[in-house]
Amino acid sequence: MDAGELTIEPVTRIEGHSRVTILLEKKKVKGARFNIVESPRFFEKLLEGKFAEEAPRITQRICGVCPVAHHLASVKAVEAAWDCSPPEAAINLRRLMLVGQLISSHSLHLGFLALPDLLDLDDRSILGIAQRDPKLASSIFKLNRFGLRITEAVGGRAVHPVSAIPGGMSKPLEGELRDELLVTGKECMGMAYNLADLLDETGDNRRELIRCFDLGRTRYLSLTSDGQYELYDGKVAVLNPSGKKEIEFEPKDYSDHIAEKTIPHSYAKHPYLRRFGYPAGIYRVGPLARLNMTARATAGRVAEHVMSLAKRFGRPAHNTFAYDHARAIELVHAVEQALDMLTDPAIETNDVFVRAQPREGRGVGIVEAPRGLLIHDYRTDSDGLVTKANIVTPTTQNTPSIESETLRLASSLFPHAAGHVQEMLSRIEILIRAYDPCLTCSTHFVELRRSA
Amino acid sequence: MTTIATLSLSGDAGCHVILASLHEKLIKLLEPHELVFCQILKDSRTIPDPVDLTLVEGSVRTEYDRERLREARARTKTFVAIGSCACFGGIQSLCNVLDRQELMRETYGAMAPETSLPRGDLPEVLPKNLPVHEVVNVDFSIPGCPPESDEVASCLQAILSGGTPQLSLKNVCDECKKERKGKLEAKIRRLTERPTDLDRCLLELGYVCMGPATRAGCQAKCLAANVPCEGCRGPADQKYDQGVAMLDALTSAGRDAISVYSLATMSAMYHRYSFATSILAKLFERK
Repeated sequence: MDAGELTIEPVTRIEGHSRVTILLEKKKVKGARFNIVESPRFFEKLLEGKFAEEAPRITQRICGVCPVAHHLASVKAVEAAWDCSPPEAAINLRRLMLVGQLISSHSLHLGFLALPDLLDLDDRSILGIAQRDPKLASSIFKLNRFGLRITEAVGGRAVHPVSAIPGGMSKPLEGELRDELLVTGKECMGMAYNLADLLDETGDNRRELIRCFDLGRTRYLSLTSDGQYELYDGKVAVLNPSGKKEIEFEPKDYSDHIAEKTIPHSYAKHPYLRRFGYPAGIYRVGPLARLNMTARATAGRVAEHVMSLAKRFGRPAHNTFAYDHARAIELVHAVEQALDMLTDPAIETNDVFVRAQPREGRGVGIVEAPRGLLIHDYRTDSDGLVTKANIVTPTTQNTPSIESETLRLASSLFPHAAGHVQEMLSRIEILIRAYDPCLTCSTHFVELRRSA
Repeated sequence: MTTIATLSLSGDAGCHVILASLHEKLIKLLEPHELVFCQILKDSRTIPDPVDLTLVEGSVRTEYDRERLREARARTKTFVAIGSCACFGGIQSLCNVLDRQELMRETYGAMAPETSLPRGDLPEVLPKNLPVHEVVNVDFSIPGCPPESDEVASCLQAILSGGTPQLSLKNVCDECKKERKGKLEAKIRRLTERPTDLDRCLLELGYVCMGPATRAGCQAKCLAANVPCEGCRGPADQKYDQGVAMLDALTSAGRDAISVYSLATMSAMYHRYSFATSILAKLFERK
């Protein structure tokens, strides 16, 4: 095998289709490519000429796993363009819905995608979990259902909600729905704790596997409000690899700091920080970025897990397995947050809408989607029709790191891979999956292809 | 025992989220059968040949989509399109009026210091986004963006027991709890205006509500949230053009209304999910 390539196709990524190619030469790894072959659907062009208030319903069709994040980033962008501030009660409902999204998305990822690998099941699927540990499967389902039910209660539908409209929300949260959610949420709390404990134990049980995901240090980028954990509001901060905050900017200034490079082999672009150039300025987003960014929680189960994570991987944590543990920690935090919000009588406030005035403007809406920072940027004309749109998704931002880590992992494993090529490719898939591949892309289809 | 595969083409995975959200019901549904290829649930590597039942989500936007679709169809006995992308081309078909080269240039040129377009190793983007039935034969369709989970479960149950899935033949208005007074306001309202009466039919209040031209089965959930129907489930009868069905409904509601609801100001309102299968799209092709 003097020269050749190894291919994984398709691998998990943005709701679908990607391919990893490891290029070999003289028994060494010469390069790695992460081809995103997922069809472009041109949402940015599609928005042009449409009523901007329709954008939250339209753009959420970018992702069936995190529609709430798109729905809300979109509504925030329109509100920013029209200089409109929705009532606080509407923002509370949006925050609740965003937390619901985190719960449904994270439980799905952990249960359906990550755990079958980490528990080393023979049948690496949710069916395998249901067979080996029905109780675990049942808590994953229950958590997932709770998240979807929050979205449905606040947003009108479980997948592709409709209630966020520039100016606020189309309806308040009805009392009986709130009561129902509180009951379910309390039942889910213990399940979330158990799931986080399981991930923590995995950190001990799978040391050999996890060690190979120590692939270097990166920058992190997430929302933060005064050092606190933030999903909906606040500023965007950049954390350097040693854990120092080195840049902080307002969402509207994102394009002064982030640039995107078109990559010949991918339908996704590679974003990077302008100040450091490409590729030095690539960064990571998502659960690990958010936890690394946040000042230490002082008490409670979340704090215990954050400590355990820091003990295992240091702070900031760079090992890519830490994404999975971070996801479970966020799940605990999200259920706690949901219960707090649902307990607060303010969540039932009826005053959830003010009338927005369509006008010419430009607005940027940023939220934390389950997989990381999500940016919607629109320009509107005087009738409030969209004239230009730019959308930067979390997966796009993680793509450059996925590619460089794939190369590093392949290079470190390959010399020892003789006879274990499948095992090596399987580890590359586990690595990629840790970034939270989207649902349709959760296949494990690995094909070994060698060029002559 | 039936062997089952699922395939996703261009779409947002929402239909697979619905499948996964069947939870215990899904496990039970699959118990007597074998899931042989499913990107969400299994480590399967390829669609086996033959397979009894394939569910396909998403539309056909690239050569890669088209190849995989043809291959899957050739191996499958019963082929089911799930979701509005597969059934009607979905929301991404709204770009079918735009030139492919321009789409590529504008999408990959924006914000980039270099404006090189993606090229190597990537599947070709087709001139148009297509619904599945324009490429291969489809045995059953389950529309919706996404379809309701109960609906997906009952349709699958029907198909697996050798029957025909039953979709509602009514329209969304038949399931809507808002009150109709038989009088249409001769004014168009945008979503930025809050309905003056939350119990009243939104179409009558002047909102573009696709309820009269859209298949029921969703319990009019959007309307219950005070948001007009955007037609995500396509027309109640698949023979009809959804936009024409809407114009038909408006005509019968009052002649005055028609002049206000013009197509020019209502871009992407009448065929948001079904444009690729519309008469308009056919006219556009001829042009």
